[in-house]
Amino acid sequence: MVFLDTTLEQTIHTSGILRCLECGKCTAICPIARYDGGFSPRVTVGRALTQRDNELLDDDRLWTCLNCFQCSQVCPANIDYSALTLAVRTQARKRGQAALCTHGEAIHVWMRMMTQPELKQDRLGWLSPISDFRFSIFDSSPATRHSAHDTLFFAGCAPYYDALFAPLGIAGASVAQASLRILNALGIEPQILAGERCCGHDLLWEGDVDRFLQLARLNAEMIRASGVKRIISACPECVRALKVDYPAFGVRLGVEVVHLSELLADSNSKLKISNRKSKMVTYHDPCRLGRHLGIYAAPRKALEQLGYQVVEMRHNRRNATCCGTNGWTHCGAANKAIQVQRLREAKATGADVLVTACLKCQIHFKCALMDQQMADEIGIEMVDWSELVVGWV
Amino acid sequence: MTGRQGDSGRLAIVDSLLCAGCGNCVSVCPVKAANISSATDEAIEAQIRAALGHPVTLSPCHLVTPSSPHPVLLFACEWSGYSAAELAGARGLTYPANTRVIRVNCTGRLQPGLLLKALELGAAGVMVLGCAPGVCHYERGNERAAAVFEQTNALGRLMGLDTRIALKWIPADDGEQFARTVNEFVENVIREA
Repeated sequence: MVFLDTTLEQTIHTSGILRCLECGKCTAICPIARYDGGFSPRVTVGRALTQRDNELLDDDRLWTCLNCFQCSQVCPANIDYSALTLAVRTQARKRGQAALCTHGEAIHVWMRMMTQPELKQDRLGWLSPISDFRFSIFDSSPATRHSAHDTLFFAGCAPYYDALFAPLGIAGASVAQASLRILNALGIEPQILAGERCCGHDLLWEGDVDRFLQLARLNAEMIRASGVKRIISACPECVRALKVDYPAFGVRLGVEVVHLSELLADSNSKLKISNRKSKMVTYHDPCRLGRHLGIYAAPRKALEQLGYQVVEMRHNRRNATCCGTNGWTHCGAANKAIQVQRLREAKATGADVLVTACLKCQIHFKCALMDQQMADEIGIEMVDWSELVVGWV
Repeated sequence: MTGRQGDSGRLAIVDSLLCAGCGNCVSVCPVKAANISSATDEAIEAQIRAALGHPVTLSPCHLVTPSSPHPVLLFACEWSGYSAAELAGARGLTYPANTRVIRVNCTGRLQPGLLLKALELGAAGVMVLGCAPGVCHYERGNERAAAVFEQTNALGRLMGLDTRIALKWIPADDGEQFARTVNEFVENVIREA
């Protein structure tokens, strides 16, 4: 994917939309288009092709695409629709348009505040309740430099989600704790950045390339100084951003970026197959981990090795539907309908637990279940993948 | 009170005669479907910007440095904190000149995003002044305010800003308590700065 071409005219060439066959498969599979007749990737491509830039940029629905990659996956012409979305959003932002923020803009405010180099965070509180964790903290003071540990655990914004979404029952700290415990059990004693910033994923996909780059550079500076050779994260978006987007935008980390599930799959022998557990679980593929990074088998394998019976939803793996909202903008009736449909699929499997592997998926699903009628009808227990897998330790 | 029409065409109708005007619906709604005409996000943000010496435009992209040192914003409930502030004024009590009061119908109208944005825009401190437990004008608005404060404070702690955020309950008829509370908070903010 080529990201650097942000002008619409260049994107027409780089995203491959000149090859469009007008078959409409993109719109047919688009989860938003299914519930919002006013949104159509095919129409957007048509507007871009005929260079009706104003129609593209004035349409409020330019913010609704989830970048879930379902359309690019089925496109027979291999068009990179998300590259077009990104270019349109970048242009729209330059014209002073902005996406409608959800959750009272709180998440946007903290993402913007994290771009300030002088911000002194106190984000490691999730480490304190557990005394037997093995890790080293990297902050920029010279004393902690040159740690012998060559692996970095990138915790992501879990502690922040914890703070904002506590009323929804989101346990970000426990996800981070579970991940660290898994690393320790694999014999890895990682470094953790005291000043870690938001990876910038959401700002990038909203077209805020400037702030994305500010965050990327702040993270890159710390990562380089820490001297690590490998980054492990349990957050699909962080992995996507650090592995794919940072280099695409010229921020080269020069280190391997791995999702925790890949690491577990590679350390096969360490994860013992245990007795079959009574619980039947179903696994929701996050778009970033699945279609964006192609990781489908590893998280399932870990669950199966632990003895869980993994039953699949009607749409799974490459065809898994999105949780309905990708960033923290433009959430409406169509998004909720997608969430409800996904939860119905999960319920229909008969599984006891819906396993999510991205905190945001869980937040969005739980938000949909705030509607008591929905909760009564399609409520299902939700657990993060790492919280289940840590049971092996 | 207005509702934004959903894409499905179904629309929740709000009877404005039944609306008490607390604005808590705006605070709890994650997707901005609810709005209250007297205290939209935009209106409150404009007041924050004005209080901090920013040009009152709504572009978050162009931040400028605030004009006065250590400006402290007080979000005061119309029925308690704000009345107490008026009383403090009428009685000639002194409190720091770098404070600016933003009146809200109910502190339960606030949201973590709004409070954090004030800090982002350069406020040295943000204090919420609401009705004491059990005597909320809107019955349960202060419970919402407490929940909002808890979220904001938790986020503030992560960003090292929690000493700059506070929530206090102020009786409407206690100008002294208003002045004392504000003085203490501002002193603390300046000491921590």
